[in-house]
Amino acid sequence: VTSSTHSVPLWYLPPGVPEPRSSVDGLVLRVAKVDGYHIRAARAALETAEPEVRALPVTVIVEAIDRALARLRDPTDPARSALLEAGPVETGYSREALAHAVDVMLARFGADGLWALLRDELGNPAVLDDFVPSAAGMRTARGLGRHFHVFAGTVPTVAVFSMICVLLTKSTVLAKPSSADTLFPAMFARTLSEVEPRLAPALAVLPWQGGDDELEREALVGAGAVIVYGSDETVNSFRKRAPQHGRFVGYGHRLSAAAISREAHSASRLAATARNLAWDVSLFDQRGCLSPQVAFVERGGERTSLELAAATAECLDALLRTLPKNSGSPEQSARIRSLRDAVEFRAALGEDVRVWTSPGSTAWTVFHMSDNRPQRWGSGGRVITLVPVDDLEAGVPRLCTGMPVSTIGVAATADRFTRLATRFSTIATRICPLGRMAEPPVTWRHDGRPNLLDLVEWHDLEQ
Amino acid sequence: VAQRARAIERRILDVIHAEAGASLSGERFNRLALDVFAFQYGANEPYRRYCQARSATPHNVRNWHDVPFVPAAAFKEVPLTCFPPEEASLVFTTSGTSQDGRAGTHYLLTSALYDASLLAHFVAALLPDGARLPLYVLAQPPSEAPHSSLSYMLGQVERRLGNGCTYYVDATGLDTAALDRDLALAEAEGTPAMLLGTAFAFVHFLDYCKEHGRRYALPKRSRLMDTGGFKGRSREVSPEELHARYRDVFDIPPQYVVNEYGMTELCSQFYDASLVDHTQRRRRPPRKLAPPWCGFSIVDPETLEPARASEPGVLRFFDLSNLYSVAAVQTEDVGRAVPSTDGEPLGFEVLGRAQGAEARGCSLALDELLSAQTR
Repeated sequence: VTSSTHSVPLWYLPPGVPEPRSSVDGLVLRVAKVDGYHIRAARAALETAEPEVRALPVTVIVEAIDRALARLRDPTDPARSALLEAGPVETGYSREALAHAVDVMLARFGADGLWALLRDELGNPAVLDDFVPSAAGMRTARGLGRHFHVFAGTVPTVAVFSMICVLLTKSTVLAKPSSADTLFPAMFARTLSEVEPRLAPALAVLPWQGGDDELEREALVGAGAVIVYGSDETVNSFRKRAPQHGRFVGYGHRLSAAAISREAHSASRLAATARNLAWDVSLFDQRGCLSPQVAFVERGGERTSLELAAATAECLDALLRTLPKNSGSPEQSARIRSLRDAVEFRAALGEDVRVWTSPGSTAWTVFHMSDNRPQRWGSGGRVITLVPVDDLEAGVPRLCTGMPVSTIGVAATADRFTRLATRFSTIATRICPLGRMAEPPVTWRHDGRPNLLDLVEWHDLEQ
Repeated sequence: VAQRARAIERRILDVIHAEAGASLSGERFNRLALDVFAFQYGANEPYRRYCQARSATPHNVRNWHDVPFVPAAAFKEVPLTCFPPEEASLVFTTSGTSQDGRAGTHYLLTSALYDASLLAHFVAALLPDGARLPLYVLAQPPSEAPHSSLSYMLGQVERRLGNGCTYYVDATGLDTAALDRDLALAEAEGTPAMLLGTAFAFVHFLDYCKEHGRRYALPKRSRLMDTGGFKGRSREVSPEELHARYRDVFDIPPQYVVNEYGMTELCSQFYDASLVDHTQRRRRPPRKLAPPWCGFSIVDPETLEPARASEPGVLRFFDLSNLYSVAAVQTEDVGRAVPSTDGEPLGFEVLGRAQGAEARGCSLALDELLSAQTR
């Protein structure tokens, strides 16, 4: 076990809680077995810490988070090296994609971003520290006590942000990371505990195999809030078991689409549109629900949707150099292979479908198919389907009927953008320009819900 | 054409009826496979078009590994048959819903090859000791699920190999009380039992036993066959855990537990070698056995080249008993070859279903039924 001193532990426990048994696995230390005892001990430690955490001014918390995230961006910091070196194996993302997550996306959760978020949702952030004047007197917002979070292992920033929101409301959290990403939540917790020891007892990150009813019931006992990211099935299974009086927030299955207007594939704009679409598809390999799985392309542009598909294929190929795709699991490759073969089978039968593929690999795939057949998209792994439609205003809502849509990324001129956004806002909770789909701002209301307002309880004082 | 097909069918039936354990030389298999390919290329129009798109014809393919393998999903697109589909005597459908809500459909001209194939391999894998046992089936009877290949198979086993048979699943769910009562009776009478069903139904019953503190010391030589997986379900139970619980609740040890791997698109099934190895008193690595009339290969999903020895890849089958549909089928499942000491493949291991791929419908349809029941 001598090499363990340099291995990154894939868990984090508040001070005083005995460490679980673990084993070295390459660059990481993996928890051998979590049992009910660890969860009870973590729960107790978090509950004990609550009064102290509640007493910290929100400024202290914001500054601590800011410093922890800055450390992850510091090229000389061992925490950063750990993330980028162990990350590709642990998360399935390339080093380049992880660097983008840390340097661009996590950076948005620094002090400026968090103050913007606090003001956006709570008005006056001081309301978290004390009573502040309200319409009818005074009002303060208190966190919900100990949280239990279940992460899905989609995009690494999601778990970190979820934990940050708890800290902003001066609550504590036991997090169950996904096996597809235990590293980010564990590293964030560890780094934060080092920059601000007063927050060290506020977090616990413990991975176990999902579906273990005994452990999950232990984790749910007395939780003031339960937040679950995952399949609808996972969300529902926790919803049923969550404490009656706690708050429950579930982020289930969603998918996103691109909507490309005829003006956006004019001769002069074709290349930029293809580049933006390819970026949104490639960043995070469509593992998150904000990445487009389908692109609706309006007919009548100077260039055809087939030309856009070919240009997108070229951009996807070029992105393999700057934003490489980690070789995924054989299961994922098999799934992409089977999708491609099924579409090629349809092509052989004479159907109007076209396929562009990365040569000799499953790295990226572009499908072009007409919309005359109901489809459900959402395979992931840099697979994008272009579907030509006569007109976006009517076509997109029609084709998205029955689908839980999160984001629609629109490529259009400024006024068309406004008109389309109004139309699409009836089916999607987020409309953004194409090219920014997988990178929402910190103030984004996740699936139409606020980030902090769901996590506080208001106390009114009437005078 | 019909005459030519009948001649091939007879040759395949000869292979199936050969003495248990008789193996088919690679060369003989290849000759038969290429004849099947040539027949299907001529008689199955959608398949021919797929082959043409890949520039493969009976004239330029010399090895069955090189024929075009249709993706299992192709069975959802069109009837893949060498005969008018309305003449089918059996029609099996996948019960899971596909990406666009369509089910895969396998049309069988006659039941002859299917029956011969399923019975011969079932005997080899589950009854190598020649036992004839009463069957306890945790799946729907064929009369209630006429398009389920699993129910059809169990019905044939009941008729040809069973010694009494009771089904415990119907449209309303699993009759745990009846199964409980009958197993207790089997225990009291000392008659070895054969339990068959979907893994999910077993888990449901095991949960019932845990809740009610029920255990059965089933007589020696009792055995259990389960099928179907849990991928993507709320409950995922590992084979190790299942084995432990089977032993604990039924007193059936792992060497008498055989997992079946099968799919609607193939007439052949694949079984754990556990009971065969135990009967032959041989210690060999755990694996699934393919019958001699069904070739398998593992290809790298990235390149479609053969996977390196023991590396995971996509499972492909060339099933001679699929004579009147398509023999060469590429699954959405990931597997690994299990070689013997001299490097010859002994069998394969199924590592996982492609994420998002439909599991074989039966287990999942029942899963939905059972979860609805407990809700």
